[in-house]
Amino acid sequence: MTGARRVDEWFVREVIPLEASLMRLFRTHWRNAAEAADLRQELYVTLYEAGQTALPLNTRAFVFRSARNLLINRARREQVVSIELVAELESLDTGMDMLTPERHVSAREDLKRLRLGLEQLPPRCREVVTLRRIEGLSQKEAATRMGVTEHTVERQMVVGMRALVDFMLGGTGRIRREGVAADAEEASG
Amino acid sequence: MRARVEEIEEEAVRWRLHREEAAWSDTDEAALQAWLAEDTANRVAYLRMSHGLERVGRLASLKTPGRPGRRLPPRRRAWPPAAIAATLALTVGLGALGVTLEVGKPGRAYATEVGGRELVSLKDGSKVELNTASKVRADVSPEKRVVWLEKGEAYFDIAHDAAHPFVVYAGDRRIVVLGTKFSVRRDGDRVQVAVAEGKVRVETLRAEKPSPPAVVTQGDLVVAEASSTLITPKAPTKVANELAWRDGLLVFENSALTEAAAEFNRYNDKKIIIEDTAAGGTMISGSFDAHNVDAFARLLRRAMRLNVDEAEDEIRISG
Repeated sequence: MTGARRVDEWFVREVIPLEASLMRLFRTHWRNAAEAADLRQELYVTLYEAGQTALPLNTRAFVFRSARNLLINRARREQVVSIELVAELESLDTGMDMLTPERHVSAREDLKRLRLGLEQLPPRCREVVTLRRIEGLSQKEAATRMGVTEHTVERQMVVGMRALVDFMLGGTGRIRREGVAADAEEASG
Repeated sequence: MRARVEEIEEEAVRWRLHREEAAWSDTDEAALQAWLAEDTANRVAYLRMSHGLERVGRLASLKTPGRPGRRLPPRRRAWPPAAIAATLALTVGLGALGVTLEVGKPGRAYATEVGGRELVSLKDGSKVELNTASKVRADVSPEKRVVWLEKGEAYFDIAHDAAHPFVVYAGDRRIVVLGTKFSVRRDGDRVQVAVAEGKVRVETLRAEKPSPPAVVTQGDLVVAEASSTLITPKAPTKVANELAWRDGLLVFENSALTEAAAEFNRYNDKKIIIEDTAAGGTMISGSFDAHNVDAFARLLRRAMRLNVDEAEDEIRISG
């Protein structure tokens, strides 16, 4: 068994940086792009548990092979998928050469993406994130400034940061409607 | 399903943001650890979100240079940037080492059981490390230094003595060294030599077809069978992989499952049986605990999605 800390380190250092490529693979080869996040989560669980047994030498090859197997198995299980898709996935070469290496993302590019992600957030959510993270206000100060409860600030912060992180790592950065709506009600009341 | 992933991630963000607060207590930490241990889904979400938050956090400070903001409490590191060793540290159960004197044969015999590993110190200061299910005889005196590898595999760390070359007999090959580190493995007639340090000479003992000796150096790998001798020069990674058993590991780099299973079977009484070619052709990469065949089987099931049928003394794998 591999120690928990080593698996954590491996996961963060070697698996997460592949996420943008992985998500591209899922969106291209899975008919329902909305399920990409779900696929990613299932794959991460599988990879982490495999890592607890032994860390792969070539993480990249291992990750993409596992991703492909996951897609094939899902396609088979759901049985609604055409046989062509399965065949396409079977033949999908997850070798090193077909996958473009992860570009080194410069701080400037990262910053640009952060700004884009921020702009995508609903206004109230964006305001909370800006006040807390960029202006450096405390939860209480932000609540006073905005005229809302601390609970709302906390809630919006969690929702906003999750979406922002997701966006930064190559996801859609979208927010579940119901979560925001619940807070909007409270804020207006 | 999608909402479920987001919920877990939001929960992870809540933990992580909370953890940065000054009020974070040991009780909170224990609660977090409990939540993480509850489900791997929680743990991977937490790792992903933490990593992303650190990235986002750094950028936020970049965005407003010199702006007087409220100082955030010092952040705890979830994991220190420890140096990662290339191989896994693990515990190895050593089998009982049998030492016997065999009548009619020179030297002293040393043997290990399946799963065993043992270090033998010879009189000249050289060391021999026996791998699983292996046997050597050693005849070492001030006048001569000779070892016979009767079966299995051994790693040699030879004390330098230019006047008395150290000779290893393995099958129909003779390996002659002055002072160096290398391993010799025997599978029937096949003899493999991996050189970790220095220089060794591999000679054939077949009288009917004499061939010139091969001199190999550090990082070289030799596979000799019958009259052929194949040398893979400058393959330090391969040599390191071949020697990984000394750390209790099996290292594969794009090996077919059939080969990987055969390797595991050398070390364990519980044997892996490959039932069909579809499963057997699955490519395996990674380093594994040689003695933990159950963990390997779990990996095949979870990551490789193979059918694993586990009984007490064998594991059957099919595609």
